Amino acid sequence: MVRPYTLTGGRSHPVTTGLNLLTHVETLYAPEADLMGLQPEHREILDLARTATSLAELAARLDLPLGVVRVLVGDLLQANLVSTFEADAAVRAPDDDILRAVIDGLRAL
Amino acid sequence: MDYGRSDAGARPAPAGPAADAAPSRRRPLALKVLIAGGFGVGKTTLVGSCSEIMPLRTEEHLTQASIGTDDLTGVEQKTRTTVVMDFGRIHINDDIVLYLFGTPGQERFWFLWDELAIGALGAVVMADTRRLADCFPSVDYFERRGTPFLVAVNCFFGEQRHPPEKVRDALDLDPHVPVVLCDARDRESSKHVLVTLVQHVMARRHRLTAGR
Repeated sequence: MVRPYTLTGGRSHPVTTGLNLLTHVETLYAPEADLMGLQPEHREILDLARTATSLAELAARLDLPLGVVRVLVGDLLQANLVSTFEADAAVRAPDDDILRAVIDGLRAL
Repeated sequence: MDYGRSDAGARPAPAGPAADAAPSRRRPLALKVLIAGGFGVGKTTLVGSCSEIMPLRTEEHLTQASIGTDDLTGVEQKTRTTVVMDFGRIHINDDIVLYLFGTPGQERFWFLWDELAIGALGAVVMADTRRLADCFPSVDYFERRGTPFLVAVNCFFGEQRHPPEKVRDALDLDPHVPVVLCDARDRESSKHVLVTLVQHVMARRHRLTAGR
């Protein structure tokens, strides 16, 4: 058990801004040599984000505070090991078709 | 440019097949629903009954607003506090994922709500008729923000002390805001709450468009 921000070397702000709860992170292809020097937590993120995964879900699955995951994802972005994209309603406002699909999907659960 | 803000300030994406392939992959739409209400009203139960549920930890700086309720005299170093939210994920189809966020009930964590509420599809305010006043702040918050919401009265152990109309009157709700009874432990009941919320979002949108 280590204190969460030890993982980030005490940094509490990511190198990039704009990483929101639902920002999706996706691992980019990189040769193994580029992964040298990464912390285990960086590697875990790369592993989980092979399928685009939201920042909130990464934090929950890794059981790390959101702020820590923001910093770690920022590191990976800077190293060009991941890309991010916005997937929330701000990018694509849900129209009636989407809302109907949500209702159908919920009913089918 | 599809990558949005992530590319700002970053070096150009690496060349190669993966860089070319990534943008063509299907991107999901992530929709956010907030589950709010007083402490112990059944938010965790509702999220857990209709989705996989994970605790989501945030470590937040205590702001001035929150410091008022925490006596920090002599512990000036402790400016972070851990907040745990219930976080659920519902796979709707290959294109749409619904995320549920159980908002921290204590008012001193309200500074967290703003990030949660931005772009939220809507909110469920859970109410317990024995402690109806506990949900006043949530109702106020969503009314003020203009976030579509409904009130779900959690009927503990089948108890239903007040009919929905009484709850509506007591909360002084807009006539369009749905009030539904639910049993947060029951999956079908929780699904019904979410379906009603989405229907409400849709109806509200139609009203707003028609009123233009």
